[in-house]
Amino acid sequence: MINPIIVTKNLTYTYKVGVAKAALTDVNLEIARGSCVALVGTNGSGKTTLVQHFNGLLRPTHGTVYVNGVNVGTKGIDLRALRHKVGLLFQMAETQLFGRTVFEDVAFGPRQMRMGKAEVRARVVSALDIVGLPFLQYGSRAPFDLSGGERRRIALAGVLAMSPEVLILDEISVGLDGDGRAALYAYLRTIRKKRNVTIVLVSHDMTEVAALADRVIVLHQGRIVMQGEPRTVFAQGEQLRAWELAVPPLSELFTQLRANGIAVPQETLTVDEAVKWFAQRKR
Amino acid sequence: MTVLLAIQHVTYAYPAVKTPNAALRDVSLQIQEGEYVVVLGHNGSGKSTLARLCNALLLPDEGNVLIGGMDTHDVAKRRSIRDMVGIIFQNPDNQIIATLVEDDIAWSLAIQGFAPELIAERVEDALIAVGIAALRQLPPHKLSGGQRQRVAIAGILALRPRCIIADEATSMLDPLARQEITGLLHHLNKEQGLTILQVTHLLEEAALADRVVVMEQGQIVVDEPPAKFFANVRRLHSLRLALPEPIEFAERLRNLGYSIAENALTIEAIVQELY
Repeated sequence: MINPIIVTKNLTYTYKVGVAKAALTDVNLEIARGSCVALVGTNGSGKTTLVQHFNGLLRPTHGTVYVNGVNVGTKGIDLRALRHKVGLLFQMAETQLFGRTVFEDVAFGPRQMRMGKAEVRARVVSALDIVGLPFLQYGSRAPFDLSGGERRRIALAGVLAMSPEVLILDEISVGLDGDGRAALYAYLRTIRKKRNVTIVLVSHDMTEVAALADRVIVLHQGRIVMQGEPRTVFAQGEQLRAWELAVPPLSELFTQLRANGIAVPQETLTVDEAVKWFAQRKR
Repeated sequence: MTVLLAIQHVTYAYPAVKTPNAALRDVSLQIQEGEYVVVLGHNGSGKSTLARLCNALLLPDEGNVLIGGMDTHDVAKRRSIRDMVGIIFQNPDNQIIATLVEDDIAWSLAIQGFAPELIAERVEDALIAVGIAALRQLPPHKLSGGQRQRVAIAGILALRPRCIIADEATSMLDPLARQEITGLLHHLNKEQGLTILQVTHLLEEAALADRVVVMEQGQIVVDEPPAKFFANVRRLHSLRLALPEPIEFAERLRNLGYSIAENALTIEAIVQELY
């Protein structure tokens, strides 16, 4: 891969000294700049442990992690600069807002980065714009008066205002309804297009993974067991179920059709693709 | 069939909220004993408010809610109403209090002063009904999200209710656990005749229900069987409800001239139709 933004080499991590079982074992991966990679796996498979290495929250027990060519596992690296570069949005991020107003909350990051007033304001305005909550309408409102979905978008704006190069999103659509989800996906696509941000998506929702990611990495018991394009990975339904992972409902449907002698091509992923195939078959 | 839940011209506004719109406006709904009803709607549509009115967690500003004939305004009936209608919420951790699974299930019986033998019997039955008998001696924090939600359901079953309300009870779970809990609710409905009111924003959970009720801005805008509900694509669009992908696929094949029955709403049923 040419100029990947994140590389891990033989990454192993053990939470406690003396505990035999490692949370991550010998993980080798490369993440392309500007791509959207989904990490999938059951609870305890090591997803969160892995992403916490990307912004220096954890340091490898063995092996190395490079972000932008910098070995982030070494002592004495500038963690503050790293965390500005690699933004992390946790699950249920709406519960982590603390500003008196929406503006104050989103401005927290840029202020920590010691930016001047005008720059802070410009960044807040632009970040709120991307998440579809215009500054003029929302800037002076209290976050607690907003809906859950809006609050989550404000948390996202808070991370975006720091202009990260990598955005790690840990289960960010859990609990959002269809509207909130569609809006969130649209913003994520905008961010990628406008700012070439690399997105690392940690998700249980395979429909979401199919909609957003261009690469899927499957973790099982701390090891990478499969990776590839969503259409290739989701065609392996039986294998995924053995790791207690769901496949997107559509992939499941196509698998069952194939089992009943209707030869929908292996790597069909979307409704459009399948309908096209059935239209030709009809002729 | 007998009417178990009757909501009659109910209006409700949250006292602390300054907005002029009530959360529910003149809503009427009847649910028969043994029915499986799914209530759909966007965030803020009033569906959780509706659920909370059904076991007297909230009381209507106008109109009445009758549970098995008992009015929720009647303070003396409140205990009996809550024994008859149990509610489980989005996050099971907010509902689990004891340090062992079986103690948690026994808790609501213990505070009502049931005899130990009866408590043991009821706990046993509830554990078996939700399929977690092997986990009885474990602390709840060692369980997965789906298993914890089962503990919450068992805690309600121990009270021998006639109706379970599941208020977004699957929305924090991963897809497999979600299927597991929805499957369990259907099982309890079929095997024990329990009335189920499932509140959700996930349309795919409506596919196997007897009835689908859609809330929009505090009012009921749809109340009909799922096959009819999913067939009206234009209305789904105007309600900003996205069809689950397998149902959208079936709908588009129908437009191509494939014959797929409108009541084929699950993956298995659609495959059967195409086979």
